[in-house]
Amino acid sequence: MGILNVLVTVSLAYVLFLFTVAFFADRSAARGRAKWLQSPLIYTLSLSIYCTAWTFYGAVGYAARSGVEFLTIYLGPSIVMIGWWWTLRKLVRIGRSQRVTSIADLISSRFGKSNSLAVVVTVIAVVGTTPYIALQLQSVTLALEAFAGDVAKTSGGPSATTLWLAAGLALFTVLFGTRNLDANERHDGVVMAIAVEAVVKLVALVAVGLFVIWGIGGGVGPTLERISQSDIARWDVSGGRWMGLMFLSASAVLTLPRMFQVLVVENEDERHLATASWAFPAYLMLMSLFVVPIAVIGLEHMPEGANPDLFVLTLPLSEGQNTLAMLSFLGGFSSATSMVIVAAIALSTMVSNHIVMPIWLSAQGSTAIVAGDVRHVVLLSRRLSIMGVLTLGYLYHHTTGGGEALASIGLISFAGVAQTLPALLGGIFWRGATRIGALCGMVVGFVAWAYTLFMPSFGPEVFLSDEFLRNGPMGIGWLRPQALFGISQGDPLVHSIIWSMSLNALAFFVGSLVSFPTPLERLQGAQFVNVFDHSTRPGSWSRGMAEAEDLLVMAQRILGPSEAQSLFRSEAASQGITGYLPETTPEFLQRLEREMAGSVGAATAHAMIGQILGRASVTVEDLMAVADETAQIMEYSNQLEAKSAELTRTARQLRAANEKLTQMSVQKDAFLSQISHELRTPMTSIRAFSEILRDGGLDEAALAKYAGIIHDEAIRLTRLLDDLLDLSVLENGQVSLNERIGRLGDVLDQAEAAAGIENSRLRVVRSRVREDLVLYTDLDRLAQVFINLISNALKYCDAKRPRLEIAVRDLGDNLAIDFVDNGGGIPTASQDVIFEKFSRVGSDQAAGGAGLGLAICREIVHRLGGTVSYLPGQGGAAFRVLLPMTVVRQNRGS
Amino acid sequence: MGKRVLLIEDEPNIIEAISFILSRDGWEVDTHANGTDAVDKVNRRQPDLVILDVMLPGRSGFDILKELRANAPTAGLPVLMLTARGQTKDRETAQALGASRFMTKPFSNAEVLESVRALAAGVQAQG
Amino acid sequence: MGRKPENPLFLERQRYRMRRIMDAARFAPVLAAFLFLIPLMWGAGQEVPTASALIYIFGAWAGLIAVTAFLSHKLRKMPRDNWQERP
Repeated sequence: MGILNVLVTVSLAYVLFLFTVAFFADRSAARGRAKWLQSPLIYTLSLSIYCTAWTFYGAVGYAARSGVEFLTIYLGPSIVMIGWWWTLRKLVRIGRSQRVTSIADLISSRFGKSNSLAVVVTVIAVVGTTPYIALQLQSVTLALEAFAGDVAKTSGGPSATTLWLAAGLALFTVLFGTRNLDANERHDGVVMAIAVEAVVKLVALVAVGLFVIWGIGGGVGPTLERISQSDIARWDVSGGRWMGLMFLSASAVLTLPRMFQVLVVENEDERHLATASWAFPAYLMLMSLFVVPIAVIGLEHMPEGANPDLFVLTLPLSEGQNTLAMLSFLGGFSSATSMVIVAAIALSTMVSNHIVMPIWLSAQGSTAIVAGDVRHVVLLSRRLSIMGVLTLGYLYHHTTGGGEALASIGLISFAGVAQTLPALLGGIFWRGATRIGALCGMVVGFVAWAYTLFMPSFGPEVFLSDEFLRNGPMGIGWLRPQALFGISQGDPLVHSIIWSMSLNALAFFVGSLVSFPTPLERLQGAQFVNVFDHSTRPGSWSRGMAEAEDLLVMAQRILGPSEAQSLFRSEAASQGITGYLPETTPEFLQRLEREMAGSVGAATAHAMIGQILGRASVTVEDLMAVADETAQIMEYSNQLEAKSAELTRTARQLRAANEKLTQMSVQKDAFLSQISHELRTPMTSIRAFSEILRDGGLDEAALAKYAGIIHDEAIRLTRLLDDLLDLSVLENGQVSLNERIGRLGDVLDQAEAAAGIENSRLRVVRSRVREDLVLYTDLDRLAQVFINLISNALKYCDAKRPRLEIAVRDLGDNLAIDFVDNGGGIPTASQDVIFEKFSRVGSDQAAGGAGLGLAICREIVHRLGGTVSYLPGQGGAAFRVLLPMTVVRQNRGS
Repeated sequence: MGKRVLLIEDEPNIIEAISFILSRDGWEVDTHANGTDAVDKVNRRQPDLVILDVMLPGRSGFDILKELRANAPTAGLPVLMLTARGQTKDRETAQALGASRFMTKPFSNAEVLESVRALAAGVQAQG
Repeated sequence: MGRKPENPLFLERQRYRMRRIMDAARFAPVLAAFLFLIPLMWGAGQEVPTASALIYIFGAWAGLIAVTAFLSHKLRKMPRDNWQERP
């Protein structure tokens, strides 16, 4: 009774201590003072979650029952760790460069970011891990009972203890496992806490071992002597089980979600692997060193029928070593809790990322992605998933009643999660592996495992009837779950491992051979398999002759005109360029590709851009190059390359600016010449005809006609001077606006009439409904702009059937009025200068204007608070007048 | 005299003015308003004299002059260049290309008449 | 910046050593698997005492750990650009 109280107090104090450790580790990590947290030692210790309560208590029981066979569980992982240079190093590098969050994420990402694969892996992981969590809960409950005898049962029973334990673990995991949504999914506090627990369980087991050998056994020699006289004195392990279990535990260390979490996801530095490669096998060796002595002495000293699973605890107790027993209890407690916490984090990440979030997002429609912050939803979904996982574990324990069936569940779990091994290894070593293959392999393997091992493990009459087990389904003998094809191996576990793994591998292989991977799969495959080649030299879109205008035309088709235009415009603005055509930098191309991928998929988007870039075909290398860059791995040399690219770009921009300046200076020079021409031409007519009139001798009609010409030319002169003055006033900002209320449609009507559309061939297409807007602005000035733009189409549109479309669009902040004709448009080279004074496109001077129209338009719209610009990629010449939405006083229809 | 003049100019009012002045003086005036096919027109009409504006739609007057001078039949044809830009650069270009005379707009009617007569006479003197 | 060829024919002595250490690291798990599979041969009729089995397995284990520790120690000293840390 007294010892139970002490036990509870010590346990609570221990839990409190762990909370404190996790809290301070998290805090110092957040402050960036966590260098010591990221030591290889902590990493190695965190791997010890491999040793759960099942191994802490169960190994001794296992040894007492089956001798040395238990060692396979430690030897398998040791081989994997010793072979780190092959597999683990690659996994860790891939995990880093692909920002992998779980084993499901890794497999899904490798096979073309397929969520269905992720779901399969998640299901396998949950099914495989839930009984294991139940096992941990049970072991702590059993240990408590061993201490307390029947007391625990009277105070609520073991079930209540289990429930409290599950709830406490859920709380801890939620608190420290989902504190923040780190992009790298690291949990410094949790890792620190499990490292502490790793030390506690090692110390506890070693202490019990030392006590048993020297305290009871009388030293090493006598203990070996006792072993030779015990029930397990002879090597009695079947070769099949020895090999099968070693294989199983080796694959478990790679595929168990919790091991993947600490090995790959929480890894800080690849070099830590170098330390863990020998230190973790050493840890495992120390953990198993004393198992046989404890088992042998336990069998000797404990009464007949005592549970050998609890020898670690009951042996010191029976010898009156209460403190040692307490330590041993804490060791088992540590083993159980650390496993449950990490497993819950790993599973909840998978469940949340691959099941809950996709469902939530599709339920929200596209608005959720637009709305932006889904982080709180992710956190909530993680937390709920953690509670769900622990609830499942508790329910499993509660339903199965925690009987003997649980003891064997450890290996059954291993065999279940090992079904992801072919896809995992195939994915990182074989470029030919495909999504279909992975899917086939895992499903076939999982089904085979469930049929031959998992369901029969519950014993007859739970899932499968006794009849079914003995004679096969419907009496078909060769389908007997534990003797497929009539091959009864004798050991159901080995039988299941052989069948499930080989069918799995076969399906994976054949599926991969006959299916054809998508481009994304091939890209990811190449990146995974050749991770060491690619992660150090990310390539990029080489900026070829990508024409921004062509890209815009394409983007408009895919994203819709306004989306595409605003994307191009904002990119141009961020590059310091006005207008719609930004520099086609690699960054921009990637941004564009990402945007387009949202509509047509990444591969298509890439291929389309590739076509415009002028590449005959898009190779996997191209795709790789892009993805590499998004992996954001920038080595020093690449930064240099980027810098030099930056310099080239700057130089190019400077050259362009210089060209434009030169061009403008030439235009300034031409200004006087132009003024001269524009003034002299009407002057010529005036002078000639006034001399003719002066000479006399004309009839009335001629007199009137020539006087009329003089008059017209005088007016033309005046208009020119007016334009010049107008422009000068506008440019100097001395203009006063005459703002009033009016309908946009009316202004356009007025402009159309003034431009003389009625007597021309030009057909104007308008949408009256969209024009039904009430504006408050200088309507006369606005009409002047419209007249100019319509006149332009009238003069320059060279189509057989000239057509001008005037479209009004609501762009949110701005009102756009587009004037698009179906003529030849304006060459890209001229688009920059058309708004300059006296610039007329090409050498064509036919239109007779002075080239001031667009310059005036630009100034006016600028005064009205908007912009006018040339809109490339619309087929013909296209001008867009953008007015701020603030000028709109009343929306259509209201 | 019945001499034929081809006036290549795009401003309708200036065409009108020059036609009037020259017809009154007894010239037969032909007009053409763009640069693109001006050379064809010259070849077809075979005028005694061409009055050529520099700024024409389609093709500049300088280009036309260059082609006229390059072709044997029109190499010696008197050409009076008109320009509204009045820069010395234009005058130099015109001379280099072989313009017979060069006049800046606006001009006096007497000046035009005098130039046309002198050019026609020069040709006669040569021929 | 001139780029070195990916696989030059002759490496300087130190890099040659490093490559061989990598080879050894690749071979280590094969050795481990071999040593741990030796007990398969004990099955047939031979009466191998558990105590001897334990001494063999733990001895092999400790040896492998020592070898791996040596190799990993060497590999850790590889130039920095062979490794990646979290940014």
